This record gives sequence, C-alpha cells and structure tokens, in this order.
Amino acid sequence: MKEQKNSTTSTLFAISFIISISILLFIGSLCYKQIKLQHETQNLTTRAFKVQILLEQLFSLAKDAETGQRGYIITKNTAFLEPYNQSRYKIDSIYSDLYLLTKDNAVQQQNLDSLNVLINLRFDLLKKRIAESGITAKNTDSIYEKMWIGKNVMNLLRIHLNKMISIETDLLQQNQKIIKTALSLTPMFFVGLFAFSILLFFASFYKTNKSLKNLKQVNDRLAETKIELEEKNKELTFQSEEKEKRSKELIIANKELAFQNEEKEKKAKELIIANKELAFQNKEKEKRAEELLVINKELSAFTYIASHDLQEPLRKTQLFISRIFDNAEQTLSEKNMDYFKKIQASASRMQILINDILDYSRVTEKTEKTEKLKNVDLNSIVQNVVQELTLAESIEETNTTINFGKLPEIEGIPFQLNQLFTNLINNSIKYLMSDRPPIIDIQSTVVLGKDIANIKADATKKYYKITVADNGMGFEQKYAERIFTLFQRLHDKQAFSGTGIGLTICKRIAENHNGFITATGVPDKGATFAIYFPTS
Amino acid sequence: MSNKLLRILLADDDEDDRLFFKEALEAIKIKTIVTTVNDGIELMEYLLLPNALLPDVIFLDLNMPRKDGMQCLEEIRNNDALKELTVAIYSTSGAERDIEETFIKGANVYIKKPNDFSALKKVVEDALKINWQYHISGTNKDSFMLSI
Amino acid sequence: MNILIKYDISLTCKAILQEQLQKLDIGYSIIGLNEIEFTKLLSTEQLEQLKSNFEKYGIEIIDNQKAALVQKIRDTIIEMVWKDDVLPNVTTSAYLAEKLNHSYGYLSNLFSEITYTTIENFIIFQKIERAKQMTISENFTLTEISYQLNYSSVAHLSNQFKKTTGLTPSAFQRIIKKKRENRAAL
Repeated sequence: MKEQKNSTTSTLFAISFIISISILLFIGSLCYKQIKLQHETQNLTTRAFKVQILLEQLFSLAKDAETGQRGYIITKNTAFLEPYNQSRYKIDSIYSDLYLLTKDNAVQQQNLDSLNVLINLRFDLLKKRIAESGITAKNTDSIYEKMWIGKNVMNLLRIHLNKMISIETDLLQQNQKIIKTALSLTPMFFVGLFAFSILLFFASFYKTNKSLKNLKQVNDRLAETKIELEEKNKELTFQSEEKEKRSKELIIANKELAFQNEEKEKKAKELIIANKELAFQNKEKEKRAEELLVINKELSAFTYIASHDLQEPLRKTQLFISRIFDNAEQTLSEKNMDYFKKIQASASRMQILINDILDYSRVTEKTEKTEKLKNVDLNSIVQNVVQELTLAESIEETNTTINFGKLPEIEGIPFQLNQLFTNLINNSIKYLMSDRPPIIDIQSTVVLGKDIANIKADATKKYYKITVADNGMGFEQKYAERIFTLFQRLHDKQAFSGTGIGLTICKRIAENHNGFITATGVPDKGATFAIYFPTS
Repeated sequence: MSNKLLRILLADDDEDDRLFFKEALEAIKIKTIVTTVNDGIELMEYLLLPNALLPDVIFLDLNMPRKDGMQCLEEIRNNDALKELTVAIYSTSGAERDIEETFIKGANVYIKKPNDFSALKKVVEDALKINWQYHISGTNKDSFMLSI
Repeated sequence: MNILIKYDISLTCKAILQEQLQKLDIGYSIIGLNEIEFTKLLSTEQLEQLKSNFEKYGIEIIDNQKAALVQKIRDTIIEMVWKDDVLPNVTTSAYLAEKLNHSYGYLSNLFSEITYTTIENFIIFQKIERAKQMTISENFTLTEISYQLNYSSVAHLSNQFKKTTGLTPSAFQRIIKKKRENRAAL
C-alpha cells in the first residue's frame, strides 16, 4: 500500500515538474520572440530614419549643386563649381545607399527610380546652363525660361522627396504601433504564466512536503526498527562473545584432546605393529587350521571306511571261523584248531580296535561340527552312566561301589560327557585290585585357575574340578602323561583287554569342553583322575 | 508253533550273508521256509506280485544296491496290503542313530549282524519267537520293537 | 536245468491230510488250517497210527488237552498282567499253580514244550508290553510303572526293559514320540 502511494506521489511530482518546465520553456520562447520582434521593429525604425535623413541630404545636395552653379555663372569662378562637382558624386553614393536600404520596399524602390530620373534631369539642366554661360549672355528671356524650368524640376524633386519621407514616416508609425501592442500584451501574459508556474510549484511543494512527511514517518519507523535491531544486535554480540569464550575453552579442551589423541595414535601405531605380528601369526595358525581341517576330513573319510567297509569283511571272517568251529571241531587237528583260535582272537581284537577308533573319531567329528552346547547336569549324567553300567552287569559282577557327591551343572555335550564318565568308571573297574572290591568316589570342588599347577589352566578363570578316585592298582606317576596317549598301554594286552583308547577319548572330551584332565597314581593304592571344566 | 512252517523272506545283496542266514535258520528248532532276494527292487517286485504269498517275517539288509532297505521299509509301511508285515532290519551298522531311525520308520526288529554263528542263530530265533508272541497274543504291533 | 516252482503250503498240507485221513475210513472234516473234526471218537490204536503216518510229513498231532492248558496258562498270565491297575503281589508260580490246579513244574514244562519259550519269559514279555503301553498312552513315570508292575526298582524295570526290547525305556519313548510326529505330519 505505502509503496503504491509513494509511486503515485512521485508520478504526480514528475508530471507537475514536466508541466512547469514546459511552461518555463514556453515563456522563454515567447520572450525570445518578443525581443526579436522588438529588435526587428527597431531596425525598421532606424532604417526609416536613415532613409529620411538620406533623402533630406539628397535634397540639400541638389540645392548645393544649384547654388554652386549659380555662383559660377555669375562669377565665372570655377571655385563655385566645386560643390556642384562634389554633390554629383555624393548624390550617387547616397542613392546607392538608399537603394540598398529600401530593397524590401517595392513602393519606395519605384519612387527611388523616379527620384533618380528627376535628379538626372536637374543635373542635366545645370550642366547645360554652365556650358551656355561661357559662350553668350545675350538672351535674358531664354535664361529666365531656363531658370524656371530648373525651378520646377527642383519643386518636383522636393515634392517627390517629401512623398518618400512621408512613406517612411508612415512606416515608422506603423512599426511603433506594433511594438506598442506587443510590449503592452507581453507582461500580462508573462505574469499569468508566472502565476500559474508558481501555483504549480506550490502544489508540487505541498505534495513533496506530504511525501516527505510520509517518508519521515517511514523513516521514523525504520529508525525504531533500527534501534530494535541494534538492541538485538547487541544481544547477539553478547551471545557471540559468550560463544567465543566457550569456543576458546573448547579450543583448549580440543588441544588437550588432540594431545591425548596423539598419545593414543602413538599407542595405536604400536598396537598396529603388534596386530600385524598377530595377524601374521594368525595367518600361520589359519594355515595350520586349514591343514588340520583337511586332515580331519580325511579322518572322517577313514571313519566311514572303518565303519562300513572294514567291518564287513572282518565280521564275515569271524563268522566263517565260527562255522569251522561248529562243523569241523572233530575233524581238525589240535594244532590247526589252535591256529583257528588265534585267528579268531586276532579278528576280535581287530574288531575292538575298529570300534574304538570309531568312538574316538566320533568324539573329534562331533567337535568339528561344533555341536550345540547345552546345560548339562553332571549328577544326572553320572546316574545315567551308573545305570547303564549296571545294565551291562560290569558293576554287579565286580561288586563295585560308586559314591558321588553333589556335582555341578556345566555347558557341554551330553553324549560326550556320558562317554567321559563311562570310560573313567570302566577304567577303574578294569584296573581293580583282585583282593578288594572296587570303590569309586566322584566329587566336585571349585578351584581358581592360578592355583592349578598345570600349563593348560587359565589363571583368570575358575574351574570345576571333578575327581574320579579309585582304590585300584594305580600307576607310577611318571606314566601320568603317557596313559592319555593314543594306543599307549601300561600293561601288556594279554593281562588286560582294550586298546588304550579310552583315556585318550577322555582327554579329548575334556578339551572339547575347554577343560583338561590330569591323572595321579600310587601303585597298588589307586588312581585319581581330575577333570577341570571352566565355570561359565 | 512247532507245527507251523514260518515263511521267511530275506533281502540281502551279500551272497555269504544269505548263506549264513539260511544255515542259521536250518539250525534252529523253529521250522521255516526261506526265500531270498538280492536287493530292494527284487524284494518289492516279489511282495507286489498279484497272488504273492506274504512272508511272516521279512529280514531286510539296509545297505543294498538299486533300492536300499530304508526305502523298502517306507514302501512297505505305506502299502495297505503290506503294512502289517513284520519287518526285521538285518544290518552291519550298530549305530544308535540308524537303529532309532528304522524304528521310527516302522521296523519291528533291528538285528546287528553278529560276527559269530551261534549268536546269529540266537538273534534269528529270538526275532521269530518274539514275532510269534505278538502273533498269538494279538498285542499292539505298533510297540513291537526289538533291538538285538 | 532249473525250474522255479511256487506252491501253496496249506493246499499241499491239506492234500496230505486228506490222503492220510481217508486211510482211517472214519468220517472227518478239516476246520481251518490246523484242526480236524471226526464224526466219532478215535481209538488209541487209530490215533497212534495216524500220529506215525503224519510224522513222515512233519505233521504232529497236538494233544488237545495240552494245547488247551497252554492256552489257559497264557490267558491266566495275560489276565494277571493286564487286568488290575496294580499287579497282584504274588509269586507267579504259586499264582498259576493255584489258578490252574497243576504243579508249577508241570505247567512250566508243558509251556516250554509247546511254545519254545518259558513261562517266565512270557510273563516278562507281557509285563514289558504293559510297561510300553503305559509309557505310550498314559504318560506314567518309570517310578509309577515299576511300582504298578511289581518291580523292585526303576533300575530293575529299565534293566528288564532293555533286555527284552534291546532299548532303554527313554529310547523307546523317544522313538514312539517321533513316530507319532511322523504320522501326524503325513
């Protein structure tokens, strides 16, 4: 709205300005016209006066020439002829002047022509008189007559001249009239225009003033806003100052951080180097692991062969031998019979070996497949094992007593833990002392890793220590490691059946559970196996 | 029981095992008539003959070419005319997993092939006796499971 | 040259039976597969002759009285095992002798002669069958089952279960469960 108003005001102002300017220009042009007119009229007047003067001079010269001629005629003195001679030239020059001056006036030009004729006539007459005077002075009558004629020509000249002068006077008067009217009208017109101009200016001024007031108001408002803005600015400045303070503090904190970062970077670099070394070692380990995987796969393939292909011919061999026993017992010589018995014993032993290898490879295979760890209650595992062994009659046959205390719950693979305790109990039953029934004691305690005198113990961890102690034949402590090695036996195979794989499987199972197994023995007193499982 | 001739059908691809089996059957008190087939395809062809004389017990080797024992077992249990037959698995494998799987698929007896002839006689006889018990007492055959 | 033959054993037997029975000149009819009804009573002489004739073909005449008694023994045992919730707490030998009015020794011998299995085995078979049914249908615990079937302990029951079936009770339970799941899936 305001802008629109401003724009209309400014257009109004512009329009009045243009009008005023055009009026002033108009007045200026009128003045110029008036002055020019006056100037022309004055020129005309001056010319008219000049023409009058020249015409009068002309007449007086003509008179001078007449007077000189008379004097000569009377005196015959040529000195009197001087004005006559001179006037003749002067008249010619005046005449040419007059001709030029009246160039614009056709009437006066005609009059001049006729004047010229009259002057020439007069001078011709004068010439003739002079010339005649020299010869005779006899005829006075003709002289008179001739003088009369002269006098008439002079009169005519005078009349003509007067006529011309009056024309010029008329012209003068006419011009003066024009000037008079022009001069009387012009001021009136000027005053009117001037008044209008002033009016316009006043109007413009009023309008401008109003606009100015508006502008001032707007300006005031602007000023107010400006003040507000300034206040805000001040606040902002204050805030930015605060910010600057903070940022300075931040910069200081940043510097500290940067310093710390540098320290960290240093350490990180050291770590990177250490990591690289580790990575290298890891790669080596990975390589080994891959090799191990390949070996494990080969082992699995072997397991398959052992279970499906090796067992088949072995079983048949055994069957055929048993058929021979059934059918040819009477006909065979004692020696041959003995050989067959030895074949049978070897075949059975081979059968047992194959079964044990299968058991062992199953333990490794299961680990490879990373069988899911479950919460396993060792109490129920041991109960189950005891029940199974009871079913197998080995416990009753040997009159074995099994005691067990409260056992923990651990994360593990039930089937493997079952096998672990089966093997340990079977081991104890197998190596019993014939003079006393076996007593097996199974107990559990919690021990700190750092308190275990074994390389495999992690000092930062806690372990469940499960002990399986018996009162059997024991062993010498120097064999404590050897008994866990695959196919290693402390006794010859005639004395005890088995392949020596049972404890190897136990060792493997303990390791599969991130634990380990140890053995301590006292010959003829008994053996104690300790299995360590990390607490979860 | 002594009067009745039991019809036995054995499916086994191993010639020696077929021989042992027949000898074992001849050596036991129970009177039997044995028919043998060499693999699963032959077995199913025999059982599905239009007027086939169905056996009292089928002895089925698991590991056979062309069609194995497990496939035969499933086909028998899914055939209305055959599903009441007594099926005894007769296999080299003693793996618990195999044993349980065959029972789940509907086997009645699981025999791990013995490595001694007298043991063989005993397991075959036991299997037939137990089958007879089920036969005469009309007990629910669904729970007929014997692992020897 | 080999030829393959196929024969119906029952038809063959029937033919042999008819051939031998016609020699006696006594009216008869064959009921089912293993029973012959005569129009009049046979003399001991006639019976002995028939017996010896049959023996050549591996056919044996079962003493009706003996067979009936064996059946009675079976029925008594089945009743004893299955009838009540809890088995009667008696020794089976005394129980059978009293119920069947024969000495246990006689019954035992007769049973073995006819069935090729012992009374003890038959009782065990029936008890384990009942144990199986209890496990399957009523979700009894082993403790409950062993009590109801007069076992001295769970271990005893498990032991006998394993010996009879070759499976532990828990394995049996697991198999039955999976069997049912399989059937439900079909």
